[in-house]
Amino acid sequence: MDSHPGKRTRDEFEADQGPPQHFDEDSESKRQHIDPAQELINNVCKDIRRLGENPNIINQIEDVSYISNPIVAEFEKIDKLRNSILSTVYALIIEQPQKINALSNLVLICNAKNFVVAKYVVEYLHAKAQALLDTIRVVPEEGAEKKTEKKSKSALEEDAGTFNNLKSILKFLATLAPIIESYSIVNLYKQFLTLAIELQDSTPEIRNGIAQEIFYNVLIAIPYLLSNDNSEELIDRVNELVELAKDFKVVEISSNVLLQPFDSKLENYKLPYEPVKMIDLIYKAISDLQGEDKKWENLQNKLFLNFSELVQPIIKEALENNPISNEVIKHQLPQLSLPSVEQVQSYKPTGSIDKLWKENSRVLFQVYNATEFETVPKIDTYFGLFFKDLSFDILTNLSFNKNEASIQLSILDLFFSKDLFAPPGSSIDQLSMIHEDNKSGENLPPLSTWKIEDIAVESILTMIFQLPVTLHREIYYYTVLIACCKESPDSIAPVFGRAIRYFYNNLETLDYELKMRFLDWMTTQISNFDFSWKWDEWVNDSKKFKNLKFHPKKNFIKNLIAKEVRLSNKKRIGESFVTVDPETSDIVSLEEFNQYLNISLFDDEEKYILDYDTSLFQKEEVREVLQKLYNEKKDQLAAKPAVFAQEEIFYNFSHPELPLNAVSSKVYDFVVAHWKPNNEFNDLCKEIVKAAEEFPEINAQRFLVNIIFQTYAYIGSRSIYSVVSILSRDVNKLKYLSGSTIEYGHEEPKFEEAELTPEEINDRQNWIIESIFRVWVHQPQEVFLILEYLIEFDVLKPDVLVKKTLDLEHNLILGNVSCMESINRVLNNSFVAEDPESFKKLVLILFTSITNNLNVLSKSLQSDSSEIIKISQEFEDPEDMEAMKKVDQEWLFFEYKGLLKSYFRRYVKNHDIDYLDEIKQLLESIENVPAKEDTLKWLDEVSK
Amino acid sequence: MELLEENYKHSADRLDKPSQYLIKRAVRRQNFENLERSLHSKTVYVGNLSHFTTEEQIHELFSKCGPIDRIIMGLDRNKLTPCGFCFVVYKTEEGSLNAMKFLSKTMLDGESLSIDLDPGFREGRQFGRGIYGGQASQEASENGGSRGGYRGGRGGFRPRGRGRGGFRSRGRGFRGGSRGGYRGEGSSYVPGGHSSSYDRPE
Repeated sequence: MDSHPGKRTRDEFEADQGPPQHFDEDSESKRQHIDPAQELINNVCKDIRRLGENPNIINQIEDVSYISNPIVAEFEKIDKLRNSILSTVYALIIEQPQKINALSNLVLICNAKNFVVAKYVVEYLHAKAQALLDTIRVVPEEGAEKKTEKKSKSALEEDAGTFNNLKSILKFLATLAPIIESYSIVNLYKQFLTLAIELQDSTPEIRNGIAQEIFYNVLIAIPYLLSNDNSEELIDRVNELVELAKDFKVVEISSNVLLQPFDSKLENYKLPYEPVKMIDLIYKAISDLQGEDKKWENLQNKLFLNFSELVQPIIKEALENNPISNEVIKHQLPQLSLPSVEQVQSYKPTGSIDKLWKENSRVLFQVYNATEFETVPKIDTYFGLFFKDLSFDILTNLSFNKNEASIQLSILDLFFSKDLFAPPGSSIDQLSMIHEDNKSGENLPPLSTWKIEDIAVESILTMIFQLPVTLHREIYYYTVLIACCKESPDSIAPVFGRAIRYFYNNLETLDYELKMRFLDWMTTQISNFDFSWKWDEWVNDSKKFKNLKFHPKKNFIKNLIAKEVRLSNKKRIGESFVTVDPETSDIVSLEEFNQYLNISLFDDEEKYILDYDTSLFQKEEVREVLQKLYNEKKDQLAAKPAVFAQEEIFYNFSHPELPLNAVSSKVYDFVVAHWKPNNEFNDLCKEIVKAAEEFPEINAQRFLVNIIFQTYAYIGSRSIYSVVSILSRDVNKLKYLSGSTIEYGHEEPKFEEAELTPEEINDRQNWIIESIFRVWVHQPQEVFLILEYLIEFDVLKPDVLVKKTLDLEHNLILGNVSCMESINRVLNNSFVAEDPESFKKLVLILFTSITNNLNVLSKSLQSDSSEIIKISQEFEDPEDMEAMKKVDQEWLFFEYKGLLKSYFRRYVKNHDIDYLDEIKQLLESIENVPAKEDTLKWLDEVSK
Repeated sequence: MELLEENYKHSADRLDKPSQYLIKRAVRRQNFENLERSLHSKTVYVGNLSHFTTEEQIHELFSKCGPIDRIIMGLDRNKLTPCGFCFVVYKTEEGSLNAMKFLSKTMLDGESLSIDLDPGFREGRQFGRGIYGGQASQEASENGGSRGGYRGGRGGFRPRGRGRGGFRSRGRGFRGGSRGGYRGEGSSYVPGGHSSSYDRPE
């Protein structure tokens, strides 16, 4: 009872955090000026923030009793103290709900010493709850609504939402049941439950997400009612609540393919598990906890720490010494004034968890369910749901302090019954020994194999892999994980290792967008730990898939390494491909992965460059010159100890042996100099075209675009911002070339109107893209950053780039992670810009291109379009190029389908758009029947 | 000064506040304008970069917090080479606050980044203010004797700075009469190496 054996205190997690910021003795000289009242406030509030963190429960309660003394003494006298305490209490409930039980000990003890404190707390929270509800009642004005919508598009809300936060207030008030008059807290539960039932009944056929949320929240909070009081009367009233909950109708559409983290690829693969929805589990979980006899024996002393033996004597003693009353004073808790059903229906949540519930069925994500025994509580039990719920709240509401979030998740076990978890840091080996002893009867009663690290990491991963979107930026969750790992690397690193293997092993079925997030997470994670990974595990896959490009595992390895290189450099990443020889214990390097250090946009870089440049001049003799220059350059680079990406650029226009070198030199001089007026640029262009026209085989306009854009990129190649600064200097000149509309500055000389046909403009725009591809072919992220800036400057149209990256010759969007990320940014920028028509155009182009690709692929793969396209999983000969080409096409088909699903989920599902019919027509145009039918089902999931 | 006062709206410190460095400087100079400005700034100062870290690497990491407007590399005043710091200018305030909250102490090129809000970049600030042209704080630590020379070259790995004794005793602030001295020393937690701890335990 007294202490958690082997549990860590928070301090052990904190050694690296450095001094706390504001309690800091930031300057000793200032210390003497601190007002004693302020110092008291600081100390009290600090102690409240850390309630429950002491693993020794006897000491913890002694501390609580001790803390209560200054509170009861000064609470009424110092307004600022009272206000600070009340807001700290509220913040703790919302941001760190795992401390609710510890906090309630403090209030119960204070109540016995001076009931006014508890009275204030109850009234304060009641008022807070009412204020939250009142925000729903307010009908936003027309203009205001637009404003919030814009905000929610671009900025992510820090807050979890009104109803989610009300849940935590309910939980806390429930723990105060012993000091609330006639258990009226149960009435509040009942009010919310009734609202949920009525809300869903008001639209019997359509899922009401907020009704589901309220229902779920009330049920998940029910056990708190019994945490400090289990009188028969209270149990009866709680049982009535559970009875009432039966009346809630769960309305759900039959399938949720859009929100499932895994996709069977039209039954080509088995899913790692059958996904379940939270709403389908909660009632059963509560009624199991209640037990057949409805005595809640599965709950009593099994979840919450039993403090009563320690708290009651303190309360008793305090009451005996209390001059005002020797009885426990109970407080009124009036009902809340709830918004009407109609008001809740028109509620547009901005808080992230509320919004998630409203728009999407909540599908649970599972990672650690693969061992023979449980390392996390079963997902369909109350305990399983309970810890997820707490972790989600902590993660969502503590996002302003990733370190605190990571500490609290890592010590979550401290706040609950001590036998619930295996000792922290237990390895799977140790747990499996426990499991064996449990089976053999050696452990009586059986010991827990639940692992707090697994719960913490699984909850964070659930947030990273949340569909349709994450609640906070992904980087927040990554850094929480990194913080967990830094605090206790030995116990957490293997937990990550298991997660990474799990995702890698299921890459064939993992949702397309989630694969991108997995890539991003894993890169960030291992970049913080010396890029170390057990690469030897992937050698065989890399060999097996060597002639495939689009197999998810091959594509993953390739792009993971490309992303690592972007965060570091090739040399360092190359050095990370090592393993330990089990026999000699020597470090051996794994040559297999060196091939992926070439992150070039196209497979055979040399051939691509020579073909491209030869085609600019349209002269076969030029190829020889180019080949010679290329070889010279390679030799030169090979002789250098370190090569910067900039030095690898192959730029030769002004070489004396190449045609048009004279005019090319002029371009170089023009760009490298300071800004020059438009007419000089115009003259230069004319001169280039004129010179090029002397070679009838050269496409003069294409040459012009290439020489200009390649030169800008080359001159700016020192860094992305050098190129941006010269591009932005000459935006109008570049627009003139690209055929875009020019907005002239004051007194800026105008260009002669060039009458270009749409086809000509399209050609030029494509040439611009190709010229940037060409310059930076060896560094794709540079390519796409430059192109994004050209889009931002309106030199380039986003739809031309989107189409280009979707062409079936290269499939850049699927094969190259820089491209994929870039297109997502381009789409997102267009989405948040206030121009719905342009965005609509872009989305339709995107959907058209993808469905076209699907049709081209299915035509080449099958003759009978009514059949499911099968993915070849066993192939005998990795060298059989014909067979490999077919496998690649099969994967391309399913990856394009996955891509389509991602975009549908992101830009169609939860948005009120006026082109849903056009989207539907595009989906109907998919020729492969099973794929078409599957995609049409997505329309059922569009939120109403 | 209102913005320096803790208001107890939260159960833990916000990480997107200006650092003690900025606060102290403001208090010392009794000039809170910069501090005020840094609270709504789109710019963060990034310190403790390796001298070999490129703009592209910084872009790669920092763009995870929001769209970036530009990055200004801190340069050695004399040599015009990177000298260990930079400014990242975001397109929105959200970006800079996110960088403060999420990226502080993240590793880039083996270095643990330090990040602070910045009142805004002005021309000239990209140059190191140290005597030798580099960053003053780095020059000081490199020439300051005992701590000098720990900084590796490209990809050099600096062992994490554990064991500063940042032990915060808990929950007992009112005991023992004397206030303030409740931060003990010692008991720092130094975990073992992590480099190959992804081993499959099964």
